[in-house]
Amino acid sequence: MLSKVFDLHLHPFSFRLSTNHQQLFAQLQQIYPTQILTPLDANHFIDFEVTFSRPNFAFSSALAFKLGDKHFRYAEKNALIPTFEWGLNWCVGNFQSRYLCIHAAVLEKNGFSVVLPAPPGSGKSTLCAMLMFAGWRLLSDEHCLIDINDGFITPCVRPISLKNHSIQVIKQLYPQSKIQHITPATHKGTIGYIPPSELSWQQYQTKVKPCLVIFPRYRKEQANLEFLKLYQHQYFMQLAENSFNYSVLGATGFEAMANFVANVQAFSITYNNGDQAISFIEDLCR
Amino acid sequence: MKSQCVLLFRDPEFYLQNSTLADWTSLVSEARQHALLGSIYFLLRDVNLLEQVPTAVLSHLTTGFHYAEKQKITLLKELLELESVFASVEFPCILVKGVGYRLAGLPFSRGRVFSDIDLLIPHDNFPQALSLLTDAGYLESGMSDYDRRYYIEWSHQHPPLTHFLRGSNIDLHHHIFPVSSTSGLAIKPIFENAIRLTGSSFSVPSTPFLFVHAAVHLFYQEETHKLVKDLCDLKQLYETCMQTYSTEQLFNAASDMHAEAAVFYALDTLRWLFYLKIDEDILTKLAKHSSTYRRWQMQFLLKHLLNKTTMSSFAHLAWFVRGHLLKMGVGTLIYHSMAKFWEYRKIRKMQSQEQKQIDDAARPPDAR
Repeated sequence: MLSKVFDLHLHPFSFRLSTNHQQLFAQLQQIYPTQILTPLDANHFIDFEVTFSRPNFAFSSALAFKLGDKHFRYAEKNALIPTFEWGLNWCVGNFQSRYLCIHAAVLEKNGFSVVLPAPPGSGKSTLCAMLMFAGWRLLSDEHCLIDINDGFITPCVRPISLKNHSIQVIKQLYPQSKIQHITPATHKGTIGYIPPSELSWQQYQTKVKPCLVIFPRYRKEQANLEFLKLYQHQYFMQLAENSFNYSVLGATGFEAMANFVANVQAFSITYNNGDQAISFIEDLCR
Repeated sequence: MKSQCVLLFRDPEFYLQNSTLADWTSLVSEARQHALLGSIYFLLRDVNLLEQVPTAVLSHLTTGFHYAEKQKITLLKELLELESVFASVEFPCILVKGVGYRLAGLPFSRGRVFSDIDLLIPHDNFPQALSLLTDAGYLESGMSDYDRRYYIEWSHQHPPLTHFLRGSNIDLHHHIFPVSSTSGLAIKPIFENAIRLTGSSFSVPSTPFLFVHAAVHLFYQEETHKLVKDLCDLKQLYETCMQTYSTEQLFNAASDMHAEAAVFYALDTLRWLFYLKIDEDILTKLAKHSSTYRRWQMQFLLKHLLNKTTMSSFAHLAWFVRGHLLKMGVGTLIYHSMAKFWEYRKIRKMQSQEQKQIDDAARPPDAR
C-alpha cells in the first residue's frame, strides 16, 4: 500500500511521519491544528523522521511505530492515536538531550509557571486539564523541557492525555469540553485526548521562567487539601528521578537541575477537589 | 550520492556551504540510525565549523556529544572492573574495534558510543578467559539454540556475555574472522604487534592492524545496517593511521595477516567514496591479491545501498548473501537462511510478548 507522508511542526521538535494507514492524517486533524499538521514541506528541517506502518512481510496487520530502524511498539487493535502519541513521547524522552526533560505537566498564567511532576495515577493530567480550562496556558502535559543554556522552560504543546476515571471527571466538570479519540482497552486502560486551548497554540513557542513545582497526589478520602513545603534537596532528587535524561546529561544535567531547583519553590499537595488545588496554586502566584 | 553522512565526512566545509534543510533532515536521521551524531559533533568541532551548523541540527549533534561523554564514563568504569578479572593472566588480552580505538586514544573515537566490549584472546587461552568472565558474573543471556550453535560452530566468537548486574556486554573473540571460512587470515600478527596499555592488563592493536581488522570486517560483513558507520570509521581510521605510520607499514600489516585483498577493497572504496588520495604503489601491490569481479560486485552493491536506489532492497539481500557466502559457503548459507526465516517469526512473537509484559507492569490501578 502506498505511503502517505506528512509533517507535524511541533515545538521545539518537528516530526515527519510516513504511514500506510490511510485515515491517520484525518484522525490527527481532530487533535492538531492545520498550521501544525501539514502536508510534507521540504523547506523545513525535521527533527524526527518516523514511520507508523504495517511492516513488510508481516503476518499481522499491526502498525509498528519506528524511528529510523529503532522499533518502539506495535499499535494495539484500534489504539492508533494512543500508540502514535506514546511514540512521540518516546522520541522526545529518549532521543534528545538538548533539554533536560522531566516527566511533568507545565502551565503558565500571567508569566507565572507551575510544573506538575508525578507518577501515573496521581491526577497530574486531570489537574493539568482543569488548570487549562481555568485559563492557564498549557506548555505540556508530559514533558517539562528545561533549556540547558538559559534555564527557561520550553513548551512542547500537544493534547492532554486523560486516562480512565479522569475522563468521566472532566466530562462532568466541563460538559462543553471535547475529549477526542476515547480509546478503551489499551494497556493503560481507556485513553482520551483533550486538544490544547487556543491560547496554548497561539503561544506554542513562548518560553517561560520556572517559578513553582507542585507534586500533586489525588486521594479520594482526603477532606481538605494538605500541603508540605519541600526543601531543595528533597525536590532535586524527586525531579531527577522523574527525568528521562538527567543521567545522560552528566555534569551538564546536574548544573541545569541545580539551577532549576534554586529558582523555584516546591510543595507536595494531597487533595480530592481540583478547585481547591487550583486555588492553592493561584494563591501562590499572587 | 544520497548518503548524507558520506557526503559530510568527505568534505565537511563543502557540505556546510551547500546543504539544504532537506539534506540536514536526512543527515540527522541517518546519523542517529548509525550512532554517528557524536562523531559528527567532534569532526566539526575539530575544524571550527560547529558554529556554522543550523541551530536545530546542532541540538541533535550535541545530544550525540552527551551520549558519547556518558558512555566514556560507563566504558571506563566497566574496564576497571575487567582489569581485576584479568589482573593475573599471562596471555595477551586485546581490546579491538571501537573500544580499541578509544583506548588507543585515536581522536576520531571521542564521539563513539559502544554497545559492547570486544575482547580478542589467543585460541589456546579462550577457555580460561571464558571461565574468568563467567566467574566474574558475565553470563550468556537468552538466546535461541540455533543462534548459540551458530556462534560456537561457525563464528569466531563466543555467544555474547552480559554482566548479570550491570548489564554490560562482552564479545569474546579468538579470531577476527569466522572459523567456518576458508579465508586463511592469520591472527598471530595482531597479538605480536599489540601495544600494552600503561598499567593495564589489556593491549590494543597498533593502528595499521586496527585498520586491517576494520577492512576485513567491512569486506566480509553481511549486515547493511552499520555500513555507513563502518565506512565513516574506516575513513577516519585511515587518516589517523597515515599521520603516524607509512603506507609501507600498512601494507606489511595487511601482508602479515594475509588480508591484502580486503585492504585493497577497503582502500579502493575509500578512494571512490571519500575522494581520499591513496598511494598508487600500495594499491598496485595489494591489487594483485584482489578479484576484479569482487571489486565490481562490492562497488555495485554499495552504490545502490548508499544511494538508496530502487534496487536497494535487492542490494540488501545481495549483500547479505554475499557476506554469508564469503563466511560459510553455499550449503551452510541455505541452512542458515531457512533457520533465520523462522527466527524472524519468533522475534516478532517475542517483541509482542515483551511489549505485553512491559504493558502489564505499567498498567494503572484504575485501568479497565
